[in-house]
Amino acid sequence: MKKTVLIILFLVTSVFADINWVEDIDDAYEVAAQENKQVMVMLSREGCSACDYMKGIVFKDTKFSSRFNKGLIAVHIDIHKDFMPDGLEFFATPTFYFLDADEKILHRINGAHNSKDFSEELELFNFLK
Amino acid sequence: MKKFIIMLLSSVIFLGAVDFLMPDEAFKPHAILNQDMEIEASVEIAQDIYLYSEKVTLEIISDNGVTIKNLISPKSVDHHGDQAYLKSPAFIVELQRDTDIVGKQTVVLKLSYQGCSEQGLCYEPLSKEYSFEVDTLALSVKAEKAKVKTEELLTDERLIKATEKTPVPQERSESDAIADTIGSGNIALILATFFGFGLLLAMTPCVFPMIPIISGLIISQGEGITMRKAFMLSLVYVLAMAVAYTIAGVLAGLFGANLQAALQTPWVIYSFSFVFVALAFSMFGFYELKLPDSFVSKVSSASHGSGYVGIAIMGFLSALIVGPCVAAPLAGALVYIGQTGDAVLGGMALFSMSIGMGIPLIVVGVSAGKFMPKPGAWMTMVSAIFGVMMLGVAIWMLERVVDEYITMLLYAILGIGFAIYLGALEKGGHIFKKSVAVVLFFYSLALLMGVLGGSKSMARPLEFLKPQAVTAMIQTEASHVEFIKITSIKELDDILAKNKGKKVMLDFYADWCTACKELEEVTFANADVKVKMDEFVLIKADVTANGEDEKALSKKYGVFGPPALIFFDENSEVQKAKTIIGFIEPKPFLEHLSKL
Repeated sequence: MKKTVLIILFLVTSVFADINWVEDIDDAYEVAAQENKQVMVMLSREGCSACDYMKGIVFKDTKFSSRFNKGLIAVHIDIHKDFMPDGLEFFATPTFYFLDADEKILHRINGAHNSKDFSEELELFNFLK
Repeated sequence: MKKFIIMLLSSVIFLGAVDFLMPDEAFKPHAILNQDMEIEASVEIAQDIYLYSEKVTLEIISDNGVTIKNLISPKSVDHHGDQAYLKSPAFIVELQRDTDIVGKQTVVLKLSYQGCSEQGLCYEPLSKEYSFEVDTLALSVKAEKAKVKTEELLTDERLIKATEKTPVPQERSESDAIADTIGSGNIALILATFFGFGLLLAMTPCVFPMIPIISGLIISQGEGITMRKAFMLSLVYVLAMAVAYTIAGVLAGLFGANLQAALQTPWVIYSFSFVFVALAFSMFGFYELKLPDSFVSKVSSASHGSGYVGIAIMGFLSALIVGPCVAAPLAGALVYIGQTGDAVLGGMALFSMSIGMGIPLIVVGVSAGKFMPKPGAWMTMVSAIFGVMMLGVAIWMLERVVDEYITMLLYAILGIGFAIYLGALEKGGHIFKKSVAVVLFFYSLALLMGVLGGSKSMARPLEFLKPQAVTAMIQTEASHVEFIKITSIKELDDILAKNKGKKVMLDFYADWCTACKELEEVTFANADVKVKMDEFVLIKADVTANGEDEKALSKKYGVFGPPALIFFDENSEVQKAKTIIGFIEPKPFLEHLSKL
C-alpha cells in the first residue's frame, strides 16, 4: 500500500517541473531499489541562499529535472532538524551525496552550481539518463 | 572499481575549477582589547564570501557585572534581499560596569557569524570566544536602565575614523523617551515642553467634564462678577487641580501605584456625584451653597470670601476624580520619578503640564464671567443650563459604578425634565428654544423607551425595535477576534503560553477610565482596525478592582494606569518600544499595528 502511494505520488509529481523528492531516506532507498535508480541526498538548512538557488532554479529546470528523474530519487535532509545518517559529512550547505540503493556513497558535490555544470558533473557518473 | 576511480579523478579535475574554501579559510575572526578598554572585533572574509549582518552577533557571556554599553557596527548592504557585509566588517564594543564592580575582570566575548560563498555554498553558523582582562576602572557605570542590544548602522568611513562615537539611543516607548527628556534637557525647556503637552491634553476628553464644572462655579458666584474675579477663581481652580495632579503623580511615581484607582472606589464616586447634585440644585436657585461661615472665616483671611476655598477644593478633587487620564507625558514624568527618585524635577514637570491643561479652563472660566448676561430672565436660564450640566456630570460619574440602564434612565429623566422646563410642551416661545426643547424631549423619550426595551446604546436607544438588524450586527462582530478578559499575571501567562507564535496585544482597561472607553468605542470599533486586530491575540487586563493581582499585573508591565496597550511578539517578548499609553486615533493606531 505504502509503495502504491509512493508510486502514485511519484507519477503525479513528475508532471511538474521539479525533481522527485521523497519524504525520508529509507523511502528513497526503497524506491531506488525498485526502479533501479540512485539516490541523491541534499543536505541543507533554513536560510541557506545557495540551497534555495538549487531548489528554486536548478531543480525546477524542466530539461534537467526530466533527465534527473529517470536516474535518481532525491531526498532532502535539514542538517538542523532531521536525523543525520552516518557517514554523510559536510562543512557547509548545500552538500550533495549520491548513493546507490545499498546505501554506498558514489559521489559528493559541495555547494551550489548552475544547471549546466551540475548536469555535466552528474553525466560523468551516468546519473542522468 | 577501477573505472570508478578514474571517474572520480576526472570529476575532481572538473569541479576543481570551483574550489570551495573551508570555513576557517573563509572566515577569520579577530578581537582585541584596546587601551580605552573597548573591544575591537572583526571578521576577515575571503574573496567572494559574504556575511549576513543579522547573523553577526557579539555578546558578553561572562556574568561578572561587565556588559555591553554600546555596539558600533558597520553599515550593511542589500544582497539578494538580505542585509549582508560584503567586506570584512569591524565592530567596536563599548563596555560598561555595574556600580559595585571594581578591579580587573575577565570578560568573555562571544563573536558569532554566518555567511555564504558567492560560488554557491552557505557555511554553518560559527562562533569564537575571546577572554580579556578588563580594567573596570576605565569603564563607565551602567545607567539605571539596562540598554539591551543596540545597533546603529554607521557608514564605513565613520567607523574607520571611529573617533566620534555617538551613544546610540535604544528604540523605546514614547513615555520612556519623555522620561529621558526630563533627564537630559535644561529645566526651562522641560517645563515648556510639559506645558505644551498639557495644552495638547486639554484637547482630549479628559478635560471636557471640567468645563461645565468651572463655568458653573463661576456663574454660581452670582451677579456682578468682575472679569478679574472670574480670572482669579479660574486660576485658583486650575492651580488646585495642578497641585492635585502633582501630588498624586509624585506619590504614584515614587510608590509605583496606580494613580487614580484609589479614588475610583464607589463611595468616592457616590459622594462626588452627590456634590454635583447639590451644586446643580444651588444653580436652580433652591438654596445658596456656601461653606459654613465659621470655616470660611478661619481659612480665608481677607475680603475674598468663600469662593476661593470652595473652588480650590473643587479643583483639587476634580483633578483626581473627574478627569483621570493617563497619557504618555504623564506616564513619562512618572517613569522619570520612579527611576531617579527625583521628585522635585518630575513634580515640576507634572505641575507645568497640569497648568497647560488648565489654560483652556481659565479661558472658559473668564468668558463665563465676562459674557454672563445682565440680570434678568436670561440669567435664570443660564443658571438652569449649568445646573442641568452639573446633573449630567453627576450621572456621567455614576456610569463608572452603576449599571448602564440606571444611568440611561437618569439621563432620560434629566432630558425630559429639562425639555419641559424649556417649554417643549407649551405653546409659543422662541422658535430656536422651542426646537431644541422638542428635539431633546423626543430624544429623551426615546431613551426612556430604550431603557424599558433593554437597549444599551445611548446613540441608538430604539435599536431593540429592529431585532433582525441587531442579530445581523452581532454576527458580523462575532467574526472578529474577541478580547479575552484577565485580571492577574497567572491568567495572562497561561494565555501567552497557549498562544506561542502569535502576536499578542494586551489592553489595560478599567471601567472608570474615560480614555479606555473612547479607545474602545472609537478606535477598536473602527472597521479597518478590527480587521487588522484579527492578526493579534487580544487580551484585556481589567484593572478596575485594583486589588493585589491587578496591582502586580500593572507593576510588571510598568503601567501607571489605563489605558495602556502592550504588545508581545511571537515569542511572547514584550516589545517595550511599541507600548501605547493613552488614547490613540484609529489611523495612527492602524499604522502602529502594521509596524508590528
